[in-house]
Amino acid sequence: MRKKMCIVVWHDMLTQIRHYKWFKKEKENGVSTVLWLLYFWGILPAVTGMFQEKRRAVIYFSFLCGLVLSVTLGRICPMRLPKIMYLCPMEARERRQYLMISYVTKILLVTLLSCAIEVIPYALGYVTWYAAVMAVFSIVMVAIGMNMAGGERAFQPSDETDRALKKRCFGYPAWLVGQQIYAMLYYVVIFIEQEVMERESMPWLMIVFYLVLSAINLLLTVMVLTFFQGTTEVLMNYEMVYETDRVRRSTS
Amino acid sequence: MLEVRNVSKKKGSFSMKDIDFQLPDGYIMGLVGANGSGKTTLLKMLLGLFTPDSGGIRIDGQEYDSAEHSIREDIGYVLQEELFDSSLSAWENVDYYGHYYKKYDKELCRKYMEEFELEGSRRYKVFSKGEKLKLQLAFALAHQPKYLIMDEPAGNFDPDFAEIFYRRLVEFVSDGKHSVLLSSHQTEGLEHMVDYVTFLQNGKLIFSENIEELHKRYKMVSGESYKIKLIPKERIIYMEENAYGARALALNSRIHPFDRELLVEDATIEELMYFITKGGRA
Repeated sequence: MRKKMCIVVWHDMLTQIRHYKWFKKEKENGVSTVLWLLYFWGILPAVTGMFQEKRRAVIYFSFLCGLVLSVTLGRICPMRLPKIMYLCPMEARERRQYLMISYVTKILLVTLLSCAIEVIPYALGYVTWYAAVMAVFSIVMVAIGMNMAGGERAFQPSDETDRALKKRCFGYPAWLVGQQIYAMLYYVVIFIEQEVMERESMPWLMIVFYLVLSAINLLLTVMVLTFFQGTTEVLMNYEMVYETDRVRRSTS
Repeated sequence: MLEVRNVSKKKGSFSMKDIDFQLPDGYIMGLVGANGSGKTTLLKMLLGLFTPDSGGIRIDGQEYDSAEHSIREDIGYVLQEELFDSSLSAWENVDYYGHYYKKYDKELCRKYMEEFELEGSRRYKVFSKGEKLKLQLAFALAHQPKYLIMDEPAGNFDPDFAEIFYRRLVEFVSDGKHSVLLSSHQTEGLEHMVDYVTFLQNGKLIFSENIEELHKRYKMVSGESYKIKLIPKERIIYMEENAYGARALALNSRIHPFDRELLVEDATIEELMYFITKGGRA
């Protein structure tokens, strides 16, 4: 049964990816996504001189690709149950299982792909192995937070007076901003490493740096998971997932 | 028995108030009303997808809060929404979701699919709207539920299949143990099939009655205008005049029969809906 559920989850994800209406969704989101993309793919690397040196560009864009992949997957495949699963005589346990399989699949997918991407700067000798590991770790942390928080993007508070729901919906953009700050911090640290390693070999110092940064990231992720505690329970309520004005607008 | 007890529900600017009716076993109920009258909201509450703000829904004496699993075993559904996985074939879909039902019969489902001329190996996404509904119907019948709840299914069926569909529903309730609740804003097909009619208007229950009782209570009266105007006003629900005479929906009375020169007929469901809506009272 579990195997069959995995197949259904994967089918659902593939369908969501195939049928994702980029332009329609972007129109709904306003220009914010386009601006973010412009900022990360053009403005920021240009201002910080990433295009001037091949090495810098490879480090920058390999990390960015992983991040974008993680965020995009969370947006295209939000955590939600297919409608029929609310109607079948299923146990709450089975509904939860579907959600968890979809969640874990997305994280595993992001992990595998970001590993494949981070191999490039490592193979070219642009980054140390521990810098590459930290990049993958950071991207996976984003995927963990994004997909749990992204579940909340599937709905908006149907009851405007429900403060707990509203708080959750506001928590998501707050977390996203936090991740942007973290990404900036990551670049600062990785380029400090480049400088330090060029002048004198002090790998232990960089490992300490990375460990501290990873600990901060881990803490952020735990905080976000705690904040979105109960998301799966909310997602098991059909009315909250499929019957809000926002969802009706976006699926019409 | 399906019981809806003083159910109220608010969704945005739309609200339903004090909906109260019941459907005994062995009958077919037509849930009628204009678009936006609350039919789908009510059906979704009966399916346990929406939670009423107040009041309660009981199915065979059980409530969703305490017996969701056993209630869902007993309910078959045909909804306007796309329920199945579009990337799987029809067979893969019904077999996968059928596993959740104890009484799901794979062979029976294939038999219905054959009867409804559905090609099981085709992907669900290439099915037409009508075929998707047929598949939902085949699936619903194959897990042998006690109740069938359907949201405007017939509007998407071709006339030939609509006949098969109505025949199947009559067969379904013929043992006196099963019931069907189907909503529709088109009432032609329902006319000779339903035992009960529930009429919703702007989220309010106008009536929920046995169709025979409705035929006894209301009559369509047509003839010369002045003769219809002689009927006491309190008995006229609504009257429409034209160049040749007038038609009115009027309350029937054994003690005071209508004028013999007037044509008196049973009101159809559509006439009931139209004249009661226009008249503003039932």
